[in-house]
Amino acid sequence: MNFPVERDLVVSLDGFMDKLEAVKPYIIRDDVNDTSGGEFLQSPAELAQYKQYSMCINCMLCYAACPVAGHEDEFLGPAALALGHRYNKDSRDQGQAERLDVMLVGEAIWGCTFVGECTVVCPKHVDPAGAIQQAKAVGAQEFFKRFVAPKGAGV
Amino acid sequence: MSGRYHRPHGWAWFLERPGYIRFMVRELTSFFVAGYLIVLLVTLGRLGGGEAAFAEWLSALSGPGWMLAHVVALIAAVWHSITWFAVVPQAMPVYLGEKKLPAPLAAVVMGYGPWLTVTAVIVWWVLR
Repeated sequence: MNFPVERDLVVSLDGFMDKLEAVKPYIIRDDVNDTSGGEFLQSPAELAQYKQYSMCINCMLCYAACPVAGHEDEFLGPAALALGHRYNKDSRDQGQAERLDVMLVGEAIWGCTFVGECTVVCPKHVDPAGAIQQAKAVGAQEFFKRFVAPKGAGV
Repeated sequence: MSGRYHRPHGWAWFLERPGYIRFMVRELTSFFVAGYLIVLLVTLGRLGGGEAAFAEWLSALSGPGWMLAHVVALIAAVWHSITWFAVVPQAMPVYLGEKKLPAPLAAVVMGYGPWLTVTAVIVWWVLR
């Protein structure tokens, strides 16, 4: 369900790929190419914060199970949002603000009504529904922070 | 999304999966919670209107219709609370180092525990 059909059992993945790219699913930091300091170390506890959300295999079952993904084009969908959250929770990453610029627009994340079926069908136990609610909480905090100190205020 | 054929979604989409039905029931219970809040606000308003107005409102509330409405609202509110406490561990996971607190325990720590504590304090305050 939810994916436009090209022919027979072939569905169009263009929209899904665009949404996956939109959340910038890679480590963002100024010194990402600077190897002089050695590896970017991470403790097991820091790894545990995002490991579950990094297990996605892009099977897209969550999109097929999500009633919002079928109704709302602006909604980025479970896998893409969980992946964005996975990088936001990565202690080596500094790109949360950039990702939130994409995730907090319109229905991109707020379209989610926590039906929870994405988590039920996920074969890798990623729990996209949980990741999205956590990302919403971060987004709500960010909204008030930006309200108090808008971008460019030097805070 | 691009593509040639978009499969249509009917108005009865929520009957397609049991999970969708559970979702709709959870969402609809919020109307009963809101309804009870309005009753509570009216009660407060009558309290401000003097002793006679309040007594009249209370006797109206003890009629069978209102009693039934309250029982239905209570069941809806309890179900509303249970379903939301069940998803609290997903939305607010508690990490102890590398380990995530198991979901049932997290539901008690983050949901049922505070709920029962606040309820106990209110019961004590009312009955003391």
